Amino acid sequence: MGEKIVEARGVSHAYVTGRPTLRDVSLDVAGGELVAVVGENGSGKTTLARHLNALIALQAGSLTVAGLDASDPACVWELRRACGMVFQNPENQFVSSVVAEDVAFGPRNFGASEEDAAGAAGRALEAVGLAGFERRDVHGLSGGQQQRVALAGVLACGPRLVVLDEATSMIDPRGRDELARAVEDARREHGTTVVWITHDMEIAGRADRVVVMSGGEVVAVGAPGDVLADEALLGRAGLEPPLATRTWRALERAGAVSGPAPVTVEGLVSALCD
Amino acid sequence: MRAAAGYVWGDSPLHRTPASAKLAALLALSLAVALAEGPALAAALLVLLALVALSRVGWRRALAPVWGMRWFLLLVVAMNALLLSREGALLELGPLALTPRGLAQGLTVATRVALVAALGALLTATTRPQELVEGVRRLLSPLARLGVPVEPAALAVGVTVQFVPTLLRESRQLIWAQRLRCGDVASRGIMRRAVSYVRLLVPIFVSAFRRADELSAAMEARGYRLSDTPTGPRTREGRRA
Repeated sequence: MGEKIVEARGVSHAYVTGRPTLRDVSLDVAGGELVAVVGENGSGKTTLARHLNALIALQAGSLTVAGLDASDPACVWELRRACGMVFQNPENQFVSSVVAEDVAFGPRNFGASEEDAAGAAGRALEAVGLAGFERRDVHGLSGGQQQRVALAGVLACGPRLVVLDEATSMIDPRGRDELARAVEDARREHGTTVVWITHDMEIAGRADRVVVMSGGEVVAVGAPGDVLADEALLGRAGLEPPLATRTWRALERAGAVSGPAPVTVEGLVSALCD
Repeated sequence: MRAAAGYVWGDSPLHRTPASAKLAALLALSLAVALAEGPALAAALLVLLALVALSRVGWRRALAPVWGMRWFLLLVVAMNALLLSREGALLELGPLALTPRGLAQGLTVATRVALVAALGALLTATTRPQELVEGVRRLLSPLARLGVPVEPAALAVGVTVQFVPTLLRESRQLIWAQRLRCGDVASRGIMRRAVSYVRLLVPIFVSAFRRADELSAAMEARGYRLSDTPTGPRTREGRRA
């Protein structure tokens, strides 16, 4: 892993209602890492994600993203180029109904010429497996394809960090797998760092590290095998372990297996075959 | 084949006409329709029918927005017919009086609204959203010298048009949800129907505003800015630092 891409220290935030949504959050994310952030609704995940893209101003603490100070208004522009964000509902992210036009929107905003923006859009669509979709209507695509178009729109800007804010919650399992593959390809080919805010424990199980949030606080950070197999910890955060872990525990109670619980289906199969 | 925001793929003379020309024509025709009465309104109706035939998008598709507005148009006719005056009343029901003048006025207003809606639908059926944005941009470009924000205006038109199918689908879902909870929008009786539609307005508006908020965040996240300086982060929801 390389340099720190995200360095948050004591970040706190409260909305108009006064209720704090982030309390003293400190977090480091290294270059090239895939960090999954899990937590129940209202735990502060989205507020944290929006800080990373400077969509929400820093109220307390310090935050640097790709070396840029999030509290400095002069850095906002570069920070948004460095940190792209894919939102929950694909349909609410599109500014054009034509795929290539929408993907080229970001590069154009960041000063690319029409030709360069179209080139960046073409490369980004190819990277997410949607080459040939340039003239398609975004409304005619499946949910998974729409989210990949949204991801392409972010990748076309050449970000160092991509934040996915519950990007799979409105798409089917096939779409989720397609998006996960596209994210993995982007990491492999461009070394893109990924922060994936999710309720999906299967995705969290494949991350390099998992961050558990509860009540606006980071309550645990660690390897998926340590964090997601800790039922007591997850229970306190209002979460359930992944299916593979629950299956393992059931088999353990039946006396069929013993040892550390796997957190992915692949890990479960491997453990059972061994 | 149907595509984005009601666009119907085709190669008719209307499809090939530049978007800026179609927009200018829509504005001119809408203004003429707003001022037209009697024979002039009938002539405008004939122009619309000729344009629909020329566009080859199909009568059903072209007139669908008018059918969708039928209850609203009926309400317009009824209100004019019953409330405009009491002079020469054909029928009196308490404070309401059905008059030939009111009926004629109602039919004129409803025809005007239907004509403008049909012309607008014809524009979106024969113009790709991106061409529409380009058309607005070209049409407004002379105003840029006067400081009019042409680029945001063109983008706003494009975004609005591409959100139309989403909002229509959501409205249909809300109607079904209301129907399932015994608040049938399609139930008999104009008053019950009107009340049901009013009840739908609140969730539709809430949803539209929520979508607009999410879209603005997504646009900002991709570097969109109205001025030379990027939009600053929000201190809270909606307020800028």
